[in-house]
Amino acid sequence: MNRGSLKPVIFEHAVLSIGVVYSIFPFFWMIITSLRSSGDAFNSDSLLWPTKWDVVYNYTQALLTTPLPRFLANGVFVCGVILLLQIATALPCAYAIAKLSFRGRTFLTATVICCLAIPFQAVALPLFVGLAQLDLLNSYFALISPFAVSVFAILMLAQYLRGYPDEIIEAARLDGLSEKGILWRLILPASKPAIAAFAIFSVAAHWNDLYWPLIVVTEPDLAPPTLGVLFFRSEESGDQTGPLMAAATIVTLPLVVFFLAAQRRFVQGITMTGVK
Amino acid sequence: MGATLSICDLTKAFGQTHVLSQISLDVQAGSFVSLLGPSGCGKSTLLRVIAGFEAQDQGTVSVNGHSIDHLPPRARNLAMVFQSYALYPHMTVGENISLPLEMERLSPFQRLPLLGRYAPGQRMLMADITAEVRKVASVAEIDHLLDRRPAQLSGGQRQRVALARAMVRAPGLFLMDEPLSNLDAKLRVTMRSELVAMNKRLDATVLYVTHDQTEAMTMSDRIALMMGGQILQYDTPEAIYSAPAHVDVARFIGHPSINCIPALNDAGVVVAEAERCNIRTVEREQKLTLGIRPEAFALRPAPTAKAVLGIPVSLDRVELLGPEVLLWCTAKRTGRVLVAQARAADHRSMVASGLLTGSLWLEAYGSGLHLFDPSGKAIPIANALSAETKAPLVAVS
Repeated sequence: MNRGSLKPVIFEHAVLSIGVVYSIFPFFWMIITSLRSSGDAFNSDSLLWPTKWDVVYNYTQALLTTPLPRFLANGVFVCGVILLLQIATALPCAYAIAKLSFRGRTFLTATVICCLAIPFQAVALPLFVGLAQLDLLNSYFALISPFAVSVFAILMLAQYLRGYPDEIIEAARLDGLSEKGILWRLILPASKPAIAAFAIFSVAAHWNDLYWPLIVVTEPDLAPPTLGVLFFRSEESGDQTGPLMAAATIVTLPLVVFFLAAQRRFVQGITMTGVK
Repeated sequence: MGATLSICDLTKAFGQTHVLSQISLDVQAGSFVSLLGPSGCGKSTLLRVIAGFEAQDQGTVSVNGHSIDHLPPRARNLAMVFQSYALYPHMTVGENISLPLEMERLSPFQRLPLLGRYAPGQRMLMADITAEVRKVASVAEIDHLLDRRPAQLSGGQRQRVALARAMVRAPGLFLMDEPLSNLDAKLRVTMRSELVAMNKRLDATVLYVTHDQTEAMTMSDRIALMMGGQILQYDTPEAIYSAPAHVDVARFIGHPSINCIPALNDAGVVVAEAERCNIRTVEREQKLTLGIRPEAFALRPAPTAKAVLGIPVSLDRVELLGPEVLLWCTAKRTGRVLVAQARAADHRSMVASGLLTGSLWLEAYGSGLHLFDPSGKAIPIANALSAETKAPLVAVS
């Protein structure tokens, strides 16, 4: 880099830094508030750095006085089952759209794309009414079933599979593999990067989802972490910000760990490199 | 054992484009047959119809006398080697080769991951399969690569793995779609002879698609030359070269390609380059094409009596190929570019004795001449008088 371009670089970094501070500050505040005593949080003298630490109390409160571990287990279970179902439904559909020729393929693809435009809020009420009629509210089924098929997953995997060589699939047909066998033994292993990338989207979306659990779950035993924190907040009064932020930190942590673990695959999947 | 393949009146169109029209072909058991033609002539489509990847519009494909049109690819008892090799990328070489056998011999339960190995009889079957994979791998000289993945192999090694995977089921018919086109020139020559050796050793029928005439000429028992979705000639390599049935066959085969000269039919005597030639035909057609192979031409400092055709030319360019030279000439009367091939030693001695300085004639004698009618079909030369008869050169017009 030559000297002439130093000024624009400083400017660019300044702009970017504002963005970084803007997105990191809430987390920063959440974490330091979880480390200090509740009274300290709104004290203007110690807004950015704690004066009175209260780590042990905050975290033991968060973990012991509320069923937070139970909320976390609920979240892991619900997100895990949703992800598995989404992959199980999206992979065959994506394979069919990308690699098989059958009557109505164009129509099916167009329909799938149209479905992407339907906001979840539009179907939430009919789903709620349906689940209520079947007496299935307050169940894991209610939390999971609306998300078992992901249109986004179908389109993303189909796009990825279009790059898979046709000749390999033909060789497999000659070697005696059925379409099911091709899906299981060739397409699934080849789709790993795309599946990992999708998993991040899916898990992040459903781990952080508050809207749907709030509608279908009123029982604390079934609550996923986001809803659990909400219960926690309403049970305890507003001066318990320390334990509340400790709970929020504990809820956020698994997602960060998950993202770091899947990050490399994520980048691979997003850039959609070929299978060669 | 090799299978016989017989194709009858096969027609295939993609929308309005006719890719294959009325293809008929009989391949004998154990023979090596090439489908040769320029790209887009329909040869790969024909192979894909035989394999069952595409359905034909009309016609039948039979193996050993039984129609296979209703069968899915896996039930057709044939193996294919693809241009890109199409190895399964996340399986090892050993798994790639054993997959066809596992699919053939194990039940769905025995194939289950993890659980499958506890199925009754699975261990014995797998031991047999592993032994056969080792045997085929040692024949293909890849037994040291069984634990590698395709990405870790060179092009030549991948080619051998693809061959081994095709051979392991011992099918009656091998389909090969330009399997050598991704290899470097040296390896291609080695693999050519290995493929022929495999064909003889396994006594398997091979249908080999290529656009490379050298491959087709050197490897095949017979060549089916395809153009525009039709088979123009199906014959031995010798006959394809020395007795082309169509002007397009004559043009496609041979390097450099054949000299084609428009000719007129003057009451049974062929007139080319404004010369009455000592070539006669019984055809009535007026406009003919006279084809002369480069090696049938000889460059002479003066016209000789035994030539059936002599064209005054000027020599433009000499290309040395090694043992041979190509002599690029221009016909003096029409400006047509003609090429002759001569032995390099003969050419050197002519240059040394100063014979190539004055006016020159390109002469043809009895052999290496072909006549084609306006539709391109070969027509017999009635009495091209051979060199021995020493017929007088017909007078210059």
